[in-house]
Amino acid sequence: MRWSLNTMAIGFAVLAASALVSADDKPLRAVIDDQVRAVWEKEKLTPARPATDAEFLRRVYLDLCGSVPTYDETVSFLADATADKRATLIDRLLDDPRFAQHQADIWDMILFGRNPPGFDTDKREGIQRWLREQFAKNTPYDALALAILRAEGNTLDDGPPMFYVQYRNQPEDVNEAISQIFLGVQLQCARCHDHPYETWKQTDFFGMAAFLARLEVVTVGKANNLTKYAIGEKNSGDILFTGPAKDQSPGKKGEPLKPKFLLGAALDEPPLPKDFKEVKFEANKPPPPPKFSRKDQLAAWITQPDNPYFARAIANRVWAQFLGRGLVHPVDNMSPANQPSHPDLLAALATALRDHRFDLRWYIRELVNSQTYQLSSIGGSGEQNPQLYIAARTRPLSAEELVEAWRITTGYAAVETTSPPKGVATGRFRPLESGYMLRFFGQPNSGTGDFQGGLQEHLYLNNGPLRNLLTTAKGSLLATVSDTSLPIDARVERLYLALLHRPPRDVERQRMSEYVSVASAKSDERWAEAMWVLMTCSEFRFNH
Amino acid sequence: MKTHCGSSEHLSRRALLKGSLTTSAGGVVMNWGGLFGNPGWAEEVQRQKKHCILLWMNGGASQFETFDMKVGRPTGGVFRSIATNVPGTQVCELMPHMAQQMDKIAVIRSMRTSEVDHPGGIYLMHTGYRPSATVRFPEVGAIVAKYQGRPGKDLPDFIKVSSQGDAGAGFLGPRYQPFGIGSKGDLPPFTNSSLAKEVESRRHELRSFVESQYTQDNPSQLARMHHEAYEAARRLQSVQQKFKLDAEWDKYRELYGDSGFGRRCLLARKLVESGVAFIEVGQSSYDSHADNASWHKGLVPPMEQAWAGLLTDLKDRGLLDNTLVVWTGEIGRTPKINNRAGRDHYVRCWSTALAGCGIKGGLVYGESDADGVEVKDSPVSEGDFFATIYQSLSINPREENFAGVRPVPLAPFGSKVVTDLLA
Amino acid sequence: MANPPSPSIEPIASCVEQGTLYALAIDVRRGIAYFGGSERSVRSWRLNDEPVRSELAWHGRGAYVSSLVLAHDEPHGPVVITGHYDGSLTWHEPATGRVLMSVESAHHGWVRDLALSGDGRRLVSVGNDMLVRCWDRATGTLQQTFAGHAAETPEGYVSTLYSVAISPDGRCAASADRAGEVRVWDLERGSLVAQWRSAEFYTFDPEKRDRSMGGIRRVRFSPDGSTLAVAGIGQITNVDGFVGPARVELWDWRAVKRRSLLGDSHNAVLNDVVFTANGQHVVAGGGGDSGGVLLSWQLGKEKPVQKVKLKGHIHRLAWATGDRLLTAGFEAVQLWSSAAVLATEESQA
Repeated sequence: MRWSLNTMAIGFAVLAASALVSADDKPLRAVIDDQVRAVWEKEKLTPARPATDAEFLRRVYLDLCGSVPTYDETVSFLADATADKRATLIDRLLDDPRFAQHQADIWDMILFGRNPPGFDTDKREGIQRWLREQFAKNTPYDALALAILRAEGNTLDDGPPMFYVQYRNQPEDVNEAISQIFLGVQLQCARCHDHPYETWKQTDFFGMAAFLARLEVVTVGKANNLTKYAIGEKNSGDILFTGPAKDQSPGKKGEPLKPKFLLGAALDEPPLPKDFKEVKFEANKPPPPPKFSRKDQLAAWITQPDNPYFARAIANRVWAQFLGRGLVHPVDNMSPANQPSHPDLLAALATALRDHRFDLRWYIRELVNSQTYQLSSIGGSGEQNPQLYIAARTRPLSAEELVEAWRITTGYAAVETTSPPKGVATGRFRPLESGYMLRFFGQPNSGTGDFQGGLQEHLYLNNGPLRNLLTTAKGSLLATVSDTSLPIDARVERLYLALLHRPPRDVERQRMSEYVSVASAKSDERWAEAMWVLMTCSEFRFNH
Repeated sequence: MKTHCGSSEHLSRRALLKGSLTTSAGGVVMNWGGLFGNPGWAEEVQRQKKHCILLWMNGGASQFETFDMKVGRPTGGVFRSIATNVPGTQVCELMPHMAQQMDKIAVIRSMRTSEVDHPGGIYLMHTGYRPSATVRFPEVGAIVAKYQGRPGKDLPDFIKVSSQGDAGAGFLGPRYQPFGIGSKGDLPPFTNSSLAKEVESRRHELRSFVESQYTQDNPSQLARMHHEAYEAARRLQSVQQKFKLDAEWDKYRELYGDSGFGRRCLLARKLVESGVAFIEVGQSSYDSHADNASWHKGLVPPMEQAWAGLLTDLKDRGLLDNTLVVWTGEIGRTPKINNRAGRDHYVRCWSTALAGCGIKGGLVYGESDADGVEVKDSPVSEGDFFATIYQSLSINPREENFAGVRPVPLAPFGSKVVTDLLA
Repeated sequence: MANPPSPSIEPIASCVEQGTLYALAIDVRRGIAYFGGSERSVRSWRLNDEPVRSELAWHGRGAYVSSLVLAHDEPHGPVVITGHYDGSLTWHEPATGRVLMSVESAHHGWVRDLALSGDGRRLVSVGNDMLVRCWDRATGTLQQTFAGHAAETPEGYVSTLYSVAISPDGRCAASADRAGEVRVWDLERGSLVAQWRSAEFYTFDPEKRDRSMGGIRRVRFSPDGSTLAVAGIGQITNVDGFVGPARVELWDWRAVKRRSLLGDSHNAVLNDVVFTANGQHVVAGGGGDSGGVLLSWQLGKEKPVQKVKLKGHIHRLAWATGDRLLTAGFEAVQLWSSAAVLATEESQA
């Protein structure tokens, strides 16, 4: 069966129906909780208890800002008796500059992954800076996506063209990426053959790729030893369609295929003038725009508010960012064969997001204020992403989050001097080397998104330079806990509150006190060992 | 399934086990615990475990200076061929030791692959797939580690010694990442602990306590995996002497030849004995764009002596029946000898070799034309090559893993197992 | 610098050949060049004939022809002696190709180079067994064997003994290997008279490639016998190719003292080197990753006075009559006017 016009019509109908849902002024967070709860009741499931303040504090800090609270923040939040302290904290974190940094980090991974295909994409500060700016000023998502897809300017001064640069001159690869990221659909099977169980035909794949067939990466300059690239678009050139991959033979010439929107109409394209001569892009000059841009037509179609895929895709993707499992899971595989777990909820989220002009900060605020988000992670059967949201998800910290969490909790960030000692790494991961951190912690998951961890990560944790974080400068955690003028109990409490953002249980209090109070000339060594244990344990390694 | 490994006395029992061993990946791993509960079965399972040693010719060894001699032809180069212990089969004069091992190996003279440069070729001949902008394919070592590895043992399942390729575990995930050892046996960074034993030990006990606090009311799978990987990293401390050879080298120097590659081959044999599923041993560097004959004269003799020693040693210890030895690089070399007396990259027709683990010995598969320019008979693609490797290791080449939602078979869709190579 | 190839410089004539030519000698009296290489045969070229063409002189032994020398055996006529990669030496009557004599195992492994004394009585050879051997040219009797070049370089890589030369007075032979070791032997006393290592000619990479490159590819005495030229390639940046500077060193071999260095920034290995008759110029040929090169220096100047780039690598040089220079190498034999080759900086301007 084809999900063509029929299903599109249904899609619009769903959007229209759910528009009614959001019209009754119920906040989206309540819509979420109602619909999730309705499924639990139907399935007779018991959800986990709500997260404690301590659990919530660390989780939301990491999810919004990619960091953890300081000891002082923790103590003050836990002691705060006001009823809306969680909502207040959320508002504060959404305005924190680290929110923009963290969302930019996440989108950098969505657009490039840890190991992009090449062509200088390992040095992409331009687009990273640009993403940070967009999240800082809360650019609406449709505008953000449009800018990436139009790719104007160059990779260094502007940023967005870098997305296309990684797929240099491969319209099929760009098409796969765009479809997954912005439309939430997987077209790659249709690259080689008509899929027996899916909607898309090969001509759908190449019809979309045809929009991108005229793009060319142009070198337009250099600055600071980096090359500036821009995306040029020719006025002519077509994608040649040669049929199923299994019927390919060398020298087989394909048919030119005209651009066609996914399961939609063919592009209405003005003819080129008869005496037209194709331009040749010159090095170090911005490429002139084409007379008619196919790329811009595609960008406009993808990001228009009534695109049947666009709003659903982003609503689902950001949902999964905070709740673990997408309502359609995986988030980039929306298809008739992969139905949402909560169809009405997804429709309501998509509609609400569209109605709020793709305001991601508003949307995220609703998500993390929901009771669903604020469940404890304890109570499922131990999966990374518990079924039907009966408990909060557990996820590994990214390399960036992990280092930031170490820097904050040890007090390194608070006491570091502006000029680090000789031989100590500078940069975002200081005092650790970004190369090792990214190598050992950059991709902790398998291809299906499940955490695995690995030997190398633990060799680094066990034998690596974590000791560099354990500064003894006044104000650092190690200096504080090994200060014998304080009672041992207070110091153990401090250790747990600083590193794990919760007070120790009695048994922990006792065991830890025993460990550190062995009479020894170098008692701070015992404390350093205790810190290492808490810095490398599962409770620290994961957001839960 | 077309493999005969191990001795025949266990045949019926093995047939019984085979069903449980060759089901899906997850199934195999999950079932180990249960199987090991029964000592007899556990022993049998161990015996049945397959290993693979990949001898990787960095840069691409020349078929004309090894297994596909064209003596007297314009493309033949300077070396003569010599007889081997398989009547009618000749190899290059640079390989006198391997000439006496030809009854153990199967040579493929009809490789036709699809990546002619080093990065692409290294990727291709480690994964079976061409590099892709959208999928990170795993290396053969990661796949063998996943399907023939033994969780919970002391050594990593996938060890690379002085070799090339950075595809690693790809989408199979960090658990199957290679453990890389340098050309002189140097271990990867952070392998060694600087802590005194008692400090490490008390720290470990405290850590176990803290982990148990987290998991006591939370059966987190992530915490379990995190802890297992920690244990594996810790165990590695106690087995580092397995990477050291100095004590034994004198005894084996003659067999393997006194070369770095010889030492690495001995290390590979020792690691197989210790239960490691996959070991890759590299030799640099065959990229002989200039001075081809001199380079092969320097590189082939130590390599072939080590390889012959390895086959002999594996055979003597009864390990060859369960250990596949693969010999390949990323590319072959051009028939034409260039301006610089070198040979350039060539993938339309070149040679590889397999031995052990159910591979028919004494066989030459496929044929090149008179000048070695084109495959004359029975071309073998990279996909066919890997399908055959997996089949020989009792791994179903059509088994699928997932890169995101995309199912990816171990050997590319459409690959054929070269059944003629399997006994 | 007078480096760019001038368009006016063209070879006088050239023959397109098959494979790589490693061996070359000229019967100056008759104006015939003989050459051979990877095709395993020996071909001849009558240098003064039109149209320019080469012809098969004789089929070889089925092994590469690595070297070739020509002697005059009065009153019978010329004799050509070839050395081969199967370890043999053969004596031929060039007009017919008839084999007059052969030594089957002159060396264990390949014969790499041959040299003939000025009086034509002594023949010296070097081979992959790292030995220098001296023969009675007329009878093929082995007179002396000189051992001393190591089979491995100090770093443990396989070495090769590439070249041998005889001094103009016929008394001494010089030999040089891959590691840069140069030895001069007294052929009458059977002793070693000089020895040094020019290590700049040898590059090894123990880390990334685990391989070595380079070597002294040719040694030649100056016309007065006082100077020994050694040619090859300087330190290589990437051992995958000939990415290193072309290099010739001139040595006062009796004093074991380097007189001068003739270098060039051009990346190439120099496979052969010759002095002009007056000893005032040195010409060397070889090639790099971008093709062949012919360089000439005026003594006393480090930079070459002339550089000609060509397609194929050059492996041998030989003087023909009229001060014309013959080169043999990859798929070509070419004849050059020496005026062109030796053109000075001034004359080019």
